[in-house]
Amino acid sequence: MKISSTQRVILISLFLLLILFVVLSAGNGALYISPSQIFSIVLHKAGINEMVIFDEGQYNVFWVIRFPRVILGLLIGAALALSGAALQGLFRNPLADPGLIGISAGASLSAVLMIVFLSTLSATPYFKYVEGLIGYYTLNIVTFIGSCVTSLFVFRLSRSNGKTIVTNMLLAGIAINALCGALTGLITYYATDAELRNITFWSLGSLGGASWNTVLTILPFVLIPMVMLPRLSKSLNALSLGEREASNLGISVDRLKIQIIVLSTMAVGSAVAVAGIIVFVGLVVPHVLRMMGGYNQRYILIGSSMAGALLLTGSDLLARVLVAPAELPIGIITALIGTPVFIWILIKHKKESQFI
Amino acid sequence: MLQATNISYTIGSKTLLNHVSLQARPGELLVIAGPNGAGKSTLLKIVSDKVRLDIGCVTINGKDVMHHSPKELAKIRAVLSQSFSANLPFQVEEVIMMGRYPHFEECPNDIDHTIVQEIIHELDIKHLANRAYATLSGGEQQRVQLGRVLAQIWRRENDAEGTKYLFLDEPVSSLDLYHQQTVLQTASRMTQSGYCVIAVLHDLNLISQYADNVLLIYQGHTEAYGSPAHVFTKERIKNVYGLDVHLIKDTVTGQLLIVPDTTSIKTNQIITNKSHDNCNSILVNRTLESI
Repeated sequence: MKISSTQRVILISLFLLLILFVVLSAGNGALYISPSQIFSIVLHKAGINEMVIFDEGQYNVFWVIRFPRVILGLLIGAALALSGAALQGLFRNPLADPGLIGISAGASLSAVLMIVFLSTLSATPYFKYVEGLIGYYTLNIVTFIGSCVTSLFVFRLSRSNGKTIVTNMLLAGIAINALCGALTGLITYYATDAELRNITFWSLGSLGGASWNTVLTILPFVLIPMVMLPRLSKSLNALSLGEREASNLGISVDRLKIQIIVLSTMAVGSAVAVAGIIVFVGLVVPHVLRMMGGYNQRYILIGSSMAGALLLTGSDLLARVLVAPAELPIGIITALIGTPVFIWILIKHKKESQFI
Repeated sequence: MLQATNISYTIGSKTLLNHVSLQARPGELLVIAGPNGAGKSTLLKIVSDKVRLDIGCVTINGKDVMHHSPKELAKIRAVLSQSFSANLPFQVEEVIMMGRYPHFEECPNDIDHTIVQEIIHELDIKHLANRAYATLSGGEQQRVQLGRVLAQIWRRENDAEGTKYLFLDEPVSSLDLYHQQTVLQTASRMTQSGYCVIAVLHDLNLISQYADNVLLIYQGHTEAYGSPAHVFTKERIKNVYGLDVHLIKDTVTGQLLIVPDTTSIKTNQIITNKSHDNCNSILVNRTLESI
């Protein structure tokens, strides 16, 4: 299906807004850097001499702290919204989100396990060896593995006779979420006050851990789904006709399901691993896109990546400036900005969408 | 040619099809008929899709259907299902264009657009073309879905591929008198231009009007197979449907008319038949979901 002219206008506007927000977000915070200074810092890095004067401090803040953080925000926002859009298309259910198939629950459980038992674990020589290898990123890697394990488990539970049954998958997701939730609760019960604070902050999400290393670590895990998922948009459009109809149109529905689950888990698992749980983006961004421009999956998938990146960049900016020099957990902001926007669009489009 | 040999299909302990065979040639309109729960939709699913069978096999154009790739199959056969989603969030033209999906990668080309227009013309749905699918009535949606299915296998001049197949599962179930006729005439025109059409139909009069051959199945086995005039006898209809009928030859068209004799229906008989049907159709729906 072709991207209509309305959809094209929305995509271009999103792209322009995204550039604006990247510059705003990179420039604002405890230390102000003007857009023209940002421009000359980037040029300076590329070897072209500066046109606008900036000082060493601004250069370092931008290059070491701000810019990787902005890029990380873009990647995570895109990953969450894109996976949400793909899963909603796959489940043909607007309430599907990455949390539903156990990705977030598995990540939470493994993160809480790590936070609470880190002190005990650190004493063992084997763990010291592993930590020596992966160092600071132990929590991220364990979280990523946790999210992959649970989503694989949910996926296995939903298979019968070599086919993936979508209803079973939803039910298995609910069951695994409940189980992981209970175990997380149990571990939290034994946590000390300091650990509890860590757990709370982790579960509200933050981009505070951003560095070029984290950016590079998750880059492939987000870029591959960003390239691959929009290529599946035609199949996802056909899937809206029903599984049997899609299969009659020559689409290998089962392969499509596996591709979407694997790519979404990749994107969301890595995002959750570095930034904690950021709710709402994956659920609501695709809805906003649909309400604004229609149901063509190609538009929704591409648009969701951009709108998710936009929402997260904007939210991170607010998270840093609202209570500066401290910062708010980003998950609070995404929900605080996103919900009113969502409700506004919901009311505005209620009439038009009554048939859908 | 499509050939199904010795098809048996069992789910749990219930035998849904028992050694059923059929063959359909290019230019033929074959109708599968029978009472509710007889196994019609199961049979249509088996001949139109890749279904792993314990007994029997289906070949399309001389090649076992299991050896066709899904893409290959999508270009030579299209299936109109009995139930379709009522709230697709797309325009009518976009839904019809979905039928062209097996033929293009990213964007439809001029031929695809021309075909969509030809189909809109063929089905006389110009007035619906720019409407949202979800706002159409059930009958209009059924015709649009037929349009999508036709687009999938629509043949253009100097198109040299082999026989193409159209499978229709109760294509006129939501249509009014006029559109029942236009849709079956479209199917009939398709056969004249070399397509092979296999349809499940309930209305015996429509069958005798349009079908070249009828496969009458009852409780999973072949009750009769041949031309409508040969298959529809008073005794057989009584035996299969449990209903006395009068067979009348229409004086104007010469067509065979099958008129139910309502005096033969007893109240308690309707009730038992009905509950029997419900059980069967629930079972069949479950089967179709699982295969």
